[in-house]
Amino acid sequence: MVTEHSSVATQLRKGVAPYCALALIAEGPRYGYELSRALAEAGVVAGSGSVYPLLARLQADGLVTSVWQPPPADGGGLPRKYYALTEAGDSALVDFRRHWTQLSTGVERLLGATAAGGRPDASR
Amino acid sequence: MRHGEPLGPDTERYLAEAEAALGELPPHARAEVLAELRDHIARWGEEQGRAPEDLTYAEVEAELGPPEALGTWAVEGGGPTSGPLVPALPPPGRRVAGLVRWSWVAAAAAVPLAAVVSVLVYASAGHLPFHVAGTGSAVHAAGPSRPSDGRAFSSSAAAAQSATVGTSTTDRAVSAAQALEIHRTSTELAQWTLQERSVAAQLASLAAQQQAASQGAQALEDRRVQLQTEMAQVSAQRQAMARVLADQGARTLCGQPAPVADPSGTAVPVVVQVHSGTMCIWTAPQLNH
Repeated sequence: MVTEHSSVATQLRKGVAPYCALALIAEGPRYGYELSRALAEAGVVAGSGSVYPLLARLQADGLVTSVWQPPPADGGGLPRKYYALTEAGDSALVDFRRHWTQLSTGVERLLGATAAGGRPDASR
Repeated sequence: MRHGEPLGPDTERYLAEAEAALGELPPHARAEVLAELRDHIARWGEEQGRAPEDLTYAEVEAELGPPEALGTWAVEGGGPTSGPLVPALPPPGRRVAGLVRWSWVAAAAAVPLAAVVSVLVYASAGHLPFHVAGTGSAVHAAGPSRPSDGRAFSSSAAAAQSATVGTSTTDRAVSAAQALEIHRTSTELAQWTLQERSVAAQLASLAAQQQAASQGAQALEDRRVQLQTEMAQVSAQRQAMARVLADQGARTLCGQPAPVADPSGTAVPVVVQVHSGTMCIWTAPQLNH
């Protein structure tokens, strides 16, 4: 039974955040701050700081690689750590997309039906 | 704000708590995460128009989240190592250790079993008046000509069944052929068990060697990451100093600052004598940087 809403939100975020990070990195190499901002703005992480240990775990799992780059010439001022997807990361993302599509479709159907006051359509 | 420069006391306190929370991470990974948190605060503070040293603990926590929560993101959550997408396996060393542990049990069971069966074979061949303790009944000796009852023992599982022959099936005769078959199978089982133990020991030894090599490789990797981070810091410092030097030179020799269009910030002024006076030319040896 659901008793702690914030805990549910945390668990949901923890489930999807790694793959949202992989999806962002799949678009092209990104540096940590950029990823952190994007994930926080999307509400995938509650605090921006959690993105960095998450990225460390993805790297330890061999799903991403990283490299420090010197400050850009446009006056950025600080070195940036860029992340890129590995082949394993790409496979994990493909796998997750497939699971997510199935799961989210099913959940949407159930939640939509119950919110409308009806019963879930078992025939679909 | 330079890379690695100390931030304000509140921010440093937050980072110290974050470091404690990240204790599960290997040292090099923890150092990298802390470096990124530090950079995040510097960049974020800059975006807010705030000096990093003026940020309060509450502000930093509101931006980055509670420090104690960071640790959980490093070791748990829905990532591949904790979810069903990639099933977690114990490390190879542990698997081999398990094999070695259980092979001893198998060997301990198989060797006496072979001995018991051998005694039974000897008895069933008529050499011993064999009696099973506690039952008072005898295993009847059977000669080579005695017909088989049709049961065959052709796998190692038969060895376990052969123990039943000696303890509870005391009223049925065992043919010499059957007994010999059981004996051969149980002997073979004992040999395979010992062989398995030997291979498992070799595997364990190899796994230990691999682990030692892996630890060596990890130490090198740690050092590489450390040097890479240091390189980025030193590089940033060098570029900053090069900009200062170029500017100083330009102002001294040419009376004007170095060209701002120089992307590397390392243009070196050269004064050239021309017919109408002097001209300043900037060369940028590291424009490809």
